[in-house]
Amino acid sequence: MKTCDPRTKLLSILVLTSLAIIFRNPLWMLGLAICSLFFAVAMGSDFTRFIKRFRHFITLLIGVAFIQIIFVRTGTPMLTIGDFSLVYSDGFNRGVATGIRFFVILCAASIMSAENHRRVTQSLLQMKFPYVFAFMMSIAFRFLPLFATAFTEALTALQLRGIELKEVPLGKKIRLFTYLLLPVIAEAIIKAQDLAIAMEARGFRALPQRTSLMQLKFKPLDIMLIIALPLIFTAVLYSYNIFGGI
Amino acid sequence: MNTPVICLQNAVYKYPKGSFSLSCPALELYAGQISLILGPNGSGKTTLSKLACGIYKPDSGKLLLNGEPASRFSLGKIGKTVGYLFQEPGRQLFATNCLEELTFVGEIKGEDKQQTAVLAENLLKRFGLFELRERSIYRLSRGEKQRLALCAILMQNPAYIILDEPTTGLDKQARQVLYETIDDLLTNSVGLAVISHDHEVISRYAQAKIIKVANGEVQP
Repeated sequence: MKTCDPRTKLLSILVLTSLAIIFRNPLWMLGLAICSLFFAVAMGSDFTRFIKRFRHFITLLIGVAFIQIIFVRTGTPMLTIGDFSLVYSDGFNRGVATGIRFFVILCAASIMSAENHRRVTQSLLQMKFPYVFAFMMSIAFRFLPLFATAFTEALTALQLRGIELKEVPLGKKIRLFTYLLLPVIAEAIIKAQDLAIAMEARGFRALPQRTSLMQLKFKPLDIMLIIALPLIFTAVLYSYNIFGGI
Repeated sequence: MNTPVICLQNAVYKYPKGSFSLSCPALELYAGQISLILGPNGSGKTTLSKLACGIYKPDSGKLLLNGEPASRFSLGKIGKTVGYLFQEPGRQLFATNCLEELTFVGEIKGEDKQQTAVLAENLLKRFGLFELRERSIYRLSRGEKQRLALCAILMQNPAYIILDEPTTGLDKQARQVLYETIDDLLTNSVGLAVISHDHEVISRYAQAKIIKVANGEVQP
């Protein structure tokens, strides 16, 4: 599955993320999370790298789940202290489901992170997307690591100016992050302008039609998945409506 | 001799995502002295400098700052001892104008506003940027950005500054201003390590301590 066509990968992402949005039941979400992880690894996502990246989101994920668990106050009480019910069944279900949903979305995103940007562009073109849109997508993929580097360097430079991030109060921290984003955004705009000029100079969009030497072709596994995935999606959705609704 | 500001002992650093590693058996850098870090492209000069100022943590060996292990300090604390001028100075400028660039850190840290402003203005005067104090940082030339980044570093009064290829993209006049800035810093007992493969810099600072880096090996 590692060599699957990018179009197949995009379809699998669409199926996984759609189910993640539709599902509310934590058990079904858990099943989906396991399937997503399987798809991500099978389609070439670097598992160790994914786990390393996922660690950065754990606090956010737990925080969002915790807010749902505490503030959704419908359903049957699950945890009661004295006369006060702290956790309700609806809050618990929604909190856990939200946390897992986030995980599924990250898994789905990691499927494309392992893909070559040129193949992604070509796949969008062969799906009849306008070339400008496809090219923009590929540029965005290519520039993400550069922005990450720029952001890390800016953060390091800011800390080397004697700022202890942990000691800065929240209000000032927000102000600090606006300062931090300024050079990163400015650099992005400058890079975009330079790239636009360079592309124009090389005749980008000089002619209305573009041809491409690279042509993606579906393999038997792609065809099988393209047929199977919508069928699986429909079957899972049907089953969920009968057995999984809460 | 005094305690070195920066001391690397049997330090080894390997990039997590790559095969390149840098090893530095011994390196001592002192305040008030200038050192040149020389070597071909990709030899590990920038890696060494980032290792020396605590941006990278050694996988093995030690980094000592003023005789104390750097692992005890956060980057914020290291910044009070060692400054780092990036190859692209625009990446370390954050505010909208020159004066604010020097004062906003003090405001965030809750330092005395008047004292910070006086210090900032003195630095701007010293580096010939006072007339540009209200100018947007995006309207500065590369040389001016570099001097402003140096001023921002000097707001911390560090004992040592590492300059990563500071002559890149500078014309003759801007280079002259940079050399004067370097001389000024040395006169004020600030230690400097200059990464370069520029012959003009090498010949100008021929008396400097030379640190050669080749294929990931530091040969002091």
